[in-house]
Amino acid sequence: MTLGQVLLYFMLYTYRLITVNLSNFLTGIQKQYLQSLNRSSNDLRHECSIGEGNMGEISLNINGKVQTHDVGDNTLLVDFIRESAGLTGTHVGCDTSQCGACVVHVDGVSVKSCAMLAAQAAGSDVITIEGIGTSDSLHPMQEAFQENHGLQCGFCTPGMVMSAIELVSKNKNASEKEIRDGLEGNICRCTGYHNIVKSVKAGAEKMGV
Amino acid sequence: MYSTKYVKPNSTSEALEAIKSLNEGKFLAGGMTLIPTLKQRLASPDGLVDISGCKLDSISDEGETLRIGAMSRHVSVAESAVVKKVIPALAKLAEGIGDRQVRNRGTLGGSVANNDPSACYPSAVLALKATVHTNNRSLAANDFFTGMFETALEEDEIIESISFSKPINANYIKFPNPASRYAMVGVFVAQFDDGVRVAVTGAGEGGVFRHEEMESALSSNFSADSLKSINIASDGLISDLHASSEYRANLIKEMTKRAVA
Repeated sequence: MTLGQVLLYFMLYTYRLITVNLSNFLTGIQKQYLQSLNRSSNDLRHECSIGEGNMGEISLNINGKVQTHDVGDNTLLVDFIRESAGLTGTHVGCDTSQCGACVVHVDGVSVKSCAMLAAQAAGSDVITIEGIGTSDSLHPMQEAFQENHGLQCGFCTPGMVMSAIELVSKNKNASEKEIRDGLEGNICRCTGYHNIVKSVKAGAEKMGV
Repeated sequence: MYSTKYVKPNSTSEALEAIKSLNEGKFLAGGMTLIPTLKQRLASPDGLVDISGCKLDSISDEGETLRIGAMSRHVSVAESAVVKKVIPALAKLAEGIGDRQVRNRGTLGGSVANNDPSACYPSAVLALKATVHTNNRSLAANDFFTGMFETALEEDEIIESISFSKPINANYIKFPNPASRYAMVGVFVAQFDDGVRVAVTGAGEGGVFRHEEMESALSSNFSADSLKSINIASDGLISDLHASSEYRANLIKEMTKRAVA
C-alpha cells in the first residue's frame, strides 16, 4: 500500500465519520422539531407560565369558590387565576407591575396579580372581575363604564374597574383629581382617561357607598 | 421565573431556621421588587421565606420615637392615625410611593433592606435619626446604608422594626419619575433641637446620603433663603436617561427649598 492509498483511505474514513455523525445530528434536530410540533398548545403554555418544580397544592377562594390546584411554588397569582382556574377576565398587559390590567382584590385589597405569587395568596379570598357581576346583572361600576363609554378596546377595563371599586369604597366623594391620582397604577392604552374618570364618578354614585 | 421553594413561617425565629436550611434563600416581604426581579430571572434563590406571617406590622408611639414594624405596608403607614399625628411627613412619603396597588403590598422593611438608590424610605430613615432593629442588634441609620443596594444587614438577618426620632418639624419633597413614581430626587428635611438633617435619595451613586452643607445652613437659619449661596456639586450623582447629574444637583437644591418653604 502506497502512502497515497493510506491517505486516501484515511480521508474516506474521516469523511464517513463526519457525514454519519452529521446525519445523526440532523436527524436529532428533526426529531426534536417534529416532537415540538406534536406537543399540544397546553404543554407550551404550561412551560411558559405555570411554575415548575416544588409542586404542591395551593387553595384560594376565588369569587366564593374554593379552587385547589397542584402548581409550582413559583406560579404567579395571575397565572393561577387565568390558567389553573380558567378565569381569563383578569388580563396580563405589561407583566412588569405597571399597567394594572391584572388588578384583583385579595382579602378586600387591590393588588397587581402579576407581582404576587399564588402561594402568597394561599387561603385568601380573591375577587376577580368575574366575581363582581354577571352579564345579566352588571356591578354598578361596570354599568357606569358601559353608560359613560369608559372603555374603548376594553383591555385595561377589568383592572380599571377593580381599582375603581376600591377607590370609591375608600373615598365616596372622590374629586376628579383624586380619581386620576387613585388610578395612577392603571394604564389605558387607548388613552381614554376622560371617560374612565367620568365612569368612576358615576359608578360611585350608583354604588351609593 | 426559575423554580423555587416557598415557605411562610409564623415567627422570626422560624424564618431564620428556614433561611438557614436553604443554600441561597431570600426573605420575601411585600415582593414589589423581589417578584419582578425573579420574573426577569435576575435572581435564582432556591427558596423564598415569606415573612408576612411573622407579626412584624405594628405601629406604636413610644414617647421619644415612633416605632414601625418592618412588614407595615406603605398604605398602613400612609393611613395610620398615629403616624399622621406624630410624623406627618412620614405618612406623606408613604402616600407618594408607587401606586395604590404597590402601596397595598410594599413594606417599610422591604424598601429599607433593598436600599434602592431611588427609594423614598431610606431618606426618612437617615433624616429622622432612625434606629433599625433586626433580630439580633440595633443599627443607627448612619451605619446601616453602606452603598447602592447595599446595607449592613447580614444574609440571615431580618429587620423587625424601625424607630424614628420625632422631629420638631419635617417634610419630604420628591421629584417623581413620571412613569414609575420613584424619586428622581427626593429630599427629607427634619428639624431637631440639636440641628437640621437633610437626606437626599434618588441622586447619589452610592445611594441615600446626607448633605452636610445644607444641614449646617438650615441649622443656623431654617429658611429657603439660607440655601441661596450653596452650590450643589454634581460629582458622584447619578446620570441616566432620565436626568443628568447636573440636573439632579439642581433638583436637590430645588426640592430642599420646597421642603423648607
